Amino acid sequence: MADTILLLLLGFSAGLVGGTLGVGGGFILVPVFHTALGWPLISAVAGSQICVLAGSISATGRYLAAGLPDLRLGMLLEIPTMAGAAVGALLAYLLGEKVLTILFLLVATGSAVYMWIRRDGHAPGVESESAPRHLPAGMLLSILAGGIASVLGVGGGILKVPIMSVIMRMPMRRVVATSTFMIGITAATSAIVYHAKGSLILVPTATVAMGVMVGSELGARLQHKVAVPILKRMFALLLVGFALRMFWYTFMGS
Amino acid sequence: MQSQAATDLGPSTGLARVYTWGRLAVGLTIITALILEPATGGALADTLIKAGLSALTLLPALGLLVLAWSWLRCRLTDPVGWLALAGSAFLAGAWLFG
Repeated sequence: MADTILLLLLGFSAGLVGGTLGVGGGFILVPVFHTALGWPLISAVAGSQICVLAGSISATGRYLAAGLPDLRLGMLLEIPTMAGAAVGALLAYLLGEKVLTILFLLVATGSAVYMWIRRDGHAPGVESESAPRHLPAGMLLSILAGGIASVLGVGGGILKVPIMSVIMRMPMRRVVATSTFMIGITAATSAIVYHAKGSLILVPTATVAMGVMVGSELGARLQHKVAVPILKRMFALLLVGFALRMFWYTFMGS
Repeated sequence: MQSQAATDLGPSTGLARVYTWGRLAVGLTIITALILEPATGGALADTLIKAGLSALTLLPALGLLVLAWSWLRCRLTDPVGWLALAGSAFLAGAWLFG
């Protein structure tokens, strides 16, 4: 019983972060499943993808009710991301894992600093509804994001949000909602395979997924109440934390 | 983009329905399995959870199909509609043939 409650709380926490900031939470779940719970890595990744999918479905429903996701843009960016994911392994061979990690660390830190200090020129918490800018650049970078996400074993929300916010200058709330919609499609692609191959540890994965569903629904509701500058700074901190974890993992070996 | 947002109202409603009802069905199936598990042993719970998770992985394919239908119904040459249809077919194919 205690284990069940802990798994539900784990899922709830990951879902809350993911639902509020438009990321899947795979970077939280995979290390916990693998190192803390002792699951084989493939089961940890498989379980994480199921949870990311559950969270995306749950939060997207809430965001759709608020009319936030830009579904057409999501589709336009999702296809390059999937193509990038397909060639991601090739990229890893060409550049090497360490070069990619340094590249990601630089991009993530730069994006985080930009998101932290940028002033939009309008009242706090209010965002302009301008059209996305630099669509070709956004689509091109989505290929790279898909590749890096594939190499790092994450859903890609952590990369899609800066692309839409920093490069395409979209309003942050719309970015989070659109990213949440997109990561569900990305996660479904691999979750289907993992489920079919029997890589899931069923009962604990399903328990965490239930927690994620509730947490991400609440996260999507909370997002409306958090001021946009604070939302951006929360994401900037998350981005730097994730980049440092990747750096530590790659260069310190644990 | 304003006009696109307006045309998105239809697809949004369809997608929201698929996700809301799908989530409810998956959630109820898995909760039933978790409640039954201590009393009935692992087999029944595992079967129910497998069915629930299988349905969960199919939801994005259904969602994209609804989006494709909404967009292509308005304009058959809409490239984003065809992208959504291709995405739906890809996911459904992977789900069927695993």
